[in-house]
Amino acid sequence: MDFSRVRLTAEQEAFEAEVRGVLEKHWTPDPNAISLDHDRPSTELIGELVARGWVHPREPKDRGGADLGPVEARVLELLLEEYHVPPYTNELVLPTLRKYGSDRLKSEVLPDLESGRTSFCLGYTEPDSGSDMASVRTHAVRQGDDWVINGSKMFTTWAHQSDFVFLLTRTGPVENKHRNLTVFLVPMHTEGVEVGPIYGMGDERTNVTYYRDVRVPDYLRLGAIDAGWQVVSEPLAAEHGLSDLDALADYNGSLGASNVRVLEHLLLRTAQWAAATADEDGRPLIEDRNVRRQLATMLLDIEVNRNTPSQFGKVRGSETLALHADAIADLTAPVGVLHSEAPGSVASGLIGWARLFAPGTAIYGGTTEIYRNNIARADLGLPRAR
Amino acid sequence: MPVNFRWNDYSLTDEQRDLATMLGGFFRDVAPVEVVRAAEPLGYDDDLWKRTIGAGIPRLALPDSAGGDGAGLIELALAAAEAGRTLAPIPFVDASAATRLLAMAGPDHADLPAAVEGSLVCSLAPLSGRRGGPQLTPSGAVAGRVLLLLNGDLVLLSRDAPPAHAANQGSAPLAWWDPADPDTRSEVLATGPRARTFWDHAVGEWQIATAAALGGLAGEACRLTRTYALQRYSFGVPIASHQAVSHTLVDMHMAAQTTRNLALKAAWYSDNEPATRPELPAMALADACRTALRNTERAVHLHGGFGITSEADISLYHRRAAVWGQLGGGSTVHLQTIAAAVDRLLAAGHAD
Repeated sequence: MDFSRVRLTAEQEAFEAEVRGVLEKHWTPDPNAISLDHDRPSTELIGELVARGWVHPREPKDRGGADLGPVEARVLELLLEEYHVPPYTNELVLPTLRKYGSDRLKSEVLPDLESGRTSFCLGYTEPDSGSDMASVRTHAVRQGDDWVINGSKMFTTWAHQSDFVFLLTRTGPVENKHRNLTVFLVPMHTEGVEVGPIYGMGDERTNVTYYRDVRVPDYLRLGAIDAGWQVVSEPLAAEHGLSDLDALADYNGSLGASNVRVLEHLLLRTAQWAAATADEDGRPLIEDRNVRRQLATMLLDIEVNRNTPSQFGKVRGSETLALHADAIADLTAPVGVLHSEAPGSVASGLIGWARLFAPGTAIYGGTTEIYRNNIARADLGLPRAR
Repeated sequence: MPVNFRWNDYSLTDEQRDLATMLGGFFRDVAPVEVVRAAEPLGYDDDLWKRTIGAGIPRLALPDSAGGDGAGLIELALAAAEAGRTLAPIPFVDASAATRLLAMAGPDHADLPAAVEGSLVCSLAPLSGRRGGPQLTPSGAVAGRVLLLLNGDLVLLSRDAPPAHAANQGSAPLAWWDPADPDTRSEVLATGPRARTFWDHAVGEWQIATAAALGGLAGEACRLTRTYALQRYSFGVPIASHQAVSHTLVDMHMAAQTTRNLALKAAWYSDNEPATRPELPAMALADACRTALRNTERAVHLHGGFGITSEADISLYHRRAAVWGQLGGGSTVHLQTIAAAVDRLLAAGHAD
């Protein structure tokens, strides 16, 4: 066990200065942008990150990375957070592309995805198919050397900013659920691909995407025809964070980490509000026993999240966010729900925003129910449940 | 401000892992549920304590200089978790924490050798720093010595025979130790800020070891319930295949794992950087109390009608969950300590 402070070497300190230099020059942080899961960095900054191998910094240089050690990579990650840079990575699909991609795909398409010059979005969910992913209806039909794809996908976050969609399609009757799915890496600029915006309650942008007679060459197929379930299972395992607590991980190393960061920010903002606001007797609210109890509970729950095993981190993170967003909206009532531009608003309107944003975190990237199903089987050896 | 971060490494050494495995096996062998039941209502089995002494376990986390094995709080937490898993009716956690304090405050004290060996049970009154008067003391009904904070001094109380058992739902060997009782002798071991420093550190250690024991209890409540849910059928399938059951088991399992992680992390800080996160022991215990209560309530529920019977093993866990967890005060007490950390955050904060 080790929780000691990481001491940077002179080279690591120089690396930190280099990263700060790049961010100061090419990025203007928005201090109120505290959840960035649905955004991307600017084209300018992406160009700078790509040029330095910092999109996938741990990867070797011949794979577009910077061959950084774990400490340097953590320094980079922390600075990207400090400067409120939205996450940007193709990590989820790179192993799959290397394993299942055709030679042509690997020589023509893979290098730019490895460096981050190009990007992808996930095309799994459909209007009539979410958690039951293998029931997708978007279908692909072989025509000569090409495939022709028709259908639609929901919640294709980043589709409007991506170069490819990692698309799960049906290549046979829907009754054979898992046995006739096939995956393609479809260029977004292909004729017949159309992107429409969808906005969540928390102002998060996602999309619906339509595919009308989209013609895709066979070399963009991933894995064997009808073997798509195997192909998508691997990135899903990565998305669901089935790994141990990492020795330098961000919180518990799960998708829930971003929610915990939001909670930490909200706790500080709410405590600042309580220190600056007086009760009827002119005493700062931060001295009130009930206020202290509520804020202490929030801090305790943040620490509990940090100690949560990574496979459950996303579930706990989203449920804690929902719980405490409601609790501090209640604590600051009635002003917590005001928008930032309204007179008397608190914490730039972020408390009310968090209430609206929280429910989505329990859905995207896999619902909390699916996570619990997976943990029940993988960790507890329980029978499959529905 | 330069980046500032820490390792986040929960991995145990091979020796720590072996120790946990060895102790897990030991307590399973010597403290099966029949032994736990037979020790009720006092919650102490003298023969079991002697076997534990014979195995050298009470001296595990006591300093070398006092004749102990010199292990740290991480090892004590690992051992407490294994003892807690079986509900072993012995004063291991309380005696370890109190004797560590005695060795620190009175390294030459005449009682220390017997306390280290385990033949003289030493305990502490965790709420004495907050509340005066008689103290409801964990393991007080089997202890010959009790440490407490009395008017700002660190005091060792001694009796020839322990006070009467205070009957309780968890069959814990509690007793009221009253410094004003004529049968109780008292000896000042430290005064002033030195007494306070010793005391706060010792209470932190007791909170962490108790949290670890509760984590073991909560984890075992989950394991027993998992076994039951795989064997019990309803609507033609094992009840574990209903989501309402399996998802509850997942929550219980993850809560117990989290409690264990938090107790171990708090133990690391206490041994290595006690001043950095002074709220962690209270956090570990507050979380452990919550987890133990929730897990055992859910465990009883998932056992259906059988769960509420006294015959059900799970009832032993449910009855102990509140008692072990609350001897250091309820959540109100812990949240006061944690609120001071919110003040520190505010003083250091820069989100505005």
